Amino acid sequence: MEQAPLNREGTPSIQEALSQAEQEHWLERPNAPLAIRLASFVLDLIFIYLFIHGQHRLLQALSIYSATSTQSTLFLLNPFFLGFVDIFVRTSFLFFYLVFSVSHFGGTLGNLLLGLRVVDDQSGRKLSLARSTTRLLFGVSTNLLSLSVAMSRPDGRTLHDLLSRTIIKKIRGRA
Amino acid sequence: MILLVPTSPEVPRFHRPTWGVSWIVALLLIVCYVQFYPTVQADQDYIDHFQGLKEDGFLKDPAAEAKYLSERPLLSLTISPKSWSVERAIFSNFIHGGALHLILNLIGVIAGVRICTTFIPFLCTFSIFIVGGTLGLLSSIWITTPGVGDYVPHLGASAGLFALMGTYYVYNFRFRTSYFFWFPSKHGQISLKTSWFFFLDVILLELLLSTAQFLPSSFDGVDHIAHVGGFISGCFLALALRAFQRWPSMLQTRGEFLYWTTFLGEKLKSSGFDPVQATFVGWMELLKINFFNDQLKSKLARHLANHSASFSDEQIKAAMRFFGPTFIRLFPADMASLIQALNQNKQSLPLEWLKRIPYDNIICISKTLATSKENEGDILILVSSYQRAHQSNKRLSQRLEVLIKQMEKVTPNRLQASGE
Repeated sequence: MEQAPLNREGTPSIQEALSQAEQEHWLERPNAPLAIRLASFVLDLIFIYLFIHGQHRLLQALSIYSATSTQSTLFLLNPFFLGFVDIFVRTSFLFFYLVFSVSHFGGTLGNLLLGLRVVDDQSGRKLSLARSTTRLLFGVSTNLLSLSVAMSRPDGRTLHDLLSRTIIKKIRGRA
Repeated sequence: MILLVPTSPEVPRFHRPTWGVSWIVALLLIVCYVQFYPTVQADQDYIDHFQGLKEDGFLKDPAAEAKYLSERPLLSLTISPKSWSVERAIFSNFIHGGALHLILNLIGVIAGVRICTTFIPFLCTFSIFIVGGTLGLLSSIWITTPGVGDYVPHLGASAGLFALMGTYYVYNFRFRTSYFFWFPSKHGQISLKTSWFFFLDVILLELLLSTAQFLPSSFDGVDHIAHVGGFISGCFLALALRAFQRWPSMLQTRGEFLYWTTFLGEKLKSSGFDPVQATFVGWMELLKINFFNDQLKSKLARHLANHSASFSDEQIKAAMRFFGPTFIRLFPADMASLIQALNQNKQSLPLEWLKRIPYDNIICISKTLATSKENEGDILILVSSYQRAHQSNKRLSQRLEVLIKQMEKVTPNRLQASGE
């Protein structure tokens, strides 16, 4: 297979050559089995639920304290402000967990724990932030249909994988 | 809630915890539950009567209510914020408010005692359970907001259970824990670093939920503060025990510790008084007992790197049998230093090791070496050696050939200077 160097203007550095070798290696790895992807999805749901539930309970407790306290409280404990903080923290967390981590680390926490990586289906590279966001939006809008497509395909790719031109590889364990 | 169930430290099969001793504690809890069940029932009836009196208007002021509640039957066995003693605090660990409460704590205690006896004797485990649990319960009644549940009994074995979890956390902080992932798959076991994942799995949620307990209206009937207090107490007790035992930080299991304290001295004497060889023999002997111990492997790798000229090819080959894919993935810097040192002394990497290691490990080590330009020659030697070991795999060989050609374009001058 011919490999074009990453730095098209000259000789790639050793780091670039190794990164390219790593990306090719990921492409050669087997596709993640559907069962492992489902397990990773369940793990992600648990982590997301725990964080959101935990921070919601914490803010709810602060809100109750603010409402029931007879002493004057700081503005930061004002229920309206806490509501705003609640929405901001949740949105930031979901962005970081579902978009940034896929782009920067190659997968969500559930993916990484089970040895999975989300990569471009042609080059094996990690996704940019924009592509990671697009993939998530496809995933959210197609969900069950996406799953049924994966079950009918030999390579196990979901509909949102096909639409965003990505693939999930199992990078640890036997090939 | 525990996300993944911790089943064992990541240790060889013969070190894995057994079920035997944990049934002793379970039996004790069951016997206490049966013995004091009438008191628990009487307390429930007493509270029902109290509710009735309150609704009928017989208890008109808070002082009268408090006086009535202070005489509830369960407080003769357990503690509350306004009624406690050290003896009752200890006894509270063995009292449970219902069958479900008992069953849930039984599961946890059986698992906790089982997992802790991998590294400490049963008596130490049981002592930590009692002392840590008592401290956890006491911390809960001392920290509880005054006026909220002054006469609500704090009871159960969960504070002791969290003390055992704290003990496990301290002893296995630098190692990994095997978790059972309850998803039905043959991949149901995952090993993760205890330091961060165990904390996340066991205690982080408890910390969050315990903040709610400080407020006038608590959200659930679970004493989260006692859990956190028990965990912290368990950590401190474990640290004290380790200091008393003079437990070296790189040892994980009881087997290794016993060997270290009892037999290793004789073995080292027989290798002469050469400190380099004695250290090598020591790490190798301990790794034969627990080949999952990454701390020992890291020490061995660094020792080999610092004194590679003192070791024969056979010794290096024997040592590198312990450096598997997981260790390389977690400690690439140690492997990179070792490979650098071997190259400097013109010692070749063992062929068996190269054949065993997957390609991504070679990339991982190479990326670590590539942080410094001076190591580029070492990367080339490593990749070339790997290619020679995998000549039968044509596909891999071709990919390695492409990689070598790309690297040779960068490093020809340096290779000429080094005489390659």
